[in-house]
Amino acid sequence: MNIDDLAKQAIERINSMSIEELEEKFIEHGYGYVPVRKERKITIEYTHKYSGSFYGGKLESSSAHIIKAANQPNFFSLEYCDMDIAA
Amino acid sequence: MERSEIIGYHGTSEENAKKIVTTNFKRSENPDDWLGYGVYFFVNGISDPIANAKEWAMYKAWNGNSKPALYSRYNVLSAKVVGANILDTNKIADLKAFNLVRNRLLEIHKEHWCKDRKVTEDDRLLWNFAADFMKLDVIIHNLYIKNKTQRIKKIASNIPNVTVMCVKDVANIDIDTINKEKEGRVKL
Repeated sequence: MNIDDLAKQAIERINSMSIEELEEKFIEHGYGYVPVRKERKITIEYTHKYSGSFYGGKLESSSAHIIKAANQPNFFSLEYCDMDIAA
Repeated sequence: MERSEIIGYHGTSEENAKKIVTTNFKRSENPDDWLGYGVYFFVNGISDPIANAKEWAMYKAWNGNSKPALYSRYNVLSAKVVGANILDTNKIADLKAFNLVRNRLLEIHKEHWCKDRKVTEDDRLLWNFAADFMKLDVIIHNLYIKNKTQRIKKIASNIPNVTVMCVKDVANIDIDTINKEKEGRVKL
């Protein structure tokens, strides 16, 4: 097998490998290098509900921030500020 | 690809040379790895490989600015290396082949992973990758390695002055052919 064929086979092998398999190869060959995947897009969903607020009255309020990283739906999700006050 | 035989020369301490003769070479995996993991030899090419190996043994005995040296005697060993898949960067076809693989790796890395200097600026990782995926036994490459004068005067250059061989697997080194070519006292 000549050097051109070796290169072609190498490229075919690279193309056929999964991202996880390639990551393992980078770690194996990398002198301590650990690949970090690109988080292409981070979306922040913000919702806020509010109804009725007055002194001596009733306040209902809730809000949530949900932060999602593309390809990693469970990257993290933060919800907070859930408030229910009844006078 | 036919199997080829190449004679390589390796400079080291006398003590280490004795171990090599009985147990064979060990694969290096440290910051001196110009061409990735492997066993390193000087070979015929730009300059005299035995003189290069002696110079290297002297350099490795040097303990920074302080004396005494790390070892007092050096050996230059020779060994026959047998390999089928040899990438010699003195050949344009071999360089083109390496670059095809390197470019594909960099493309795919750029697509999926964050930029990192270990990938974009450190050839050692790419050499390891290419050797693995191309199933290389041996890489031959010209390098600039400072000799004593160049080290003292801190002369940097990108013009090669030695030819080195990186053997990826010790199984490609014929242990029965390991021979002492030169020995002497370390002079710093």
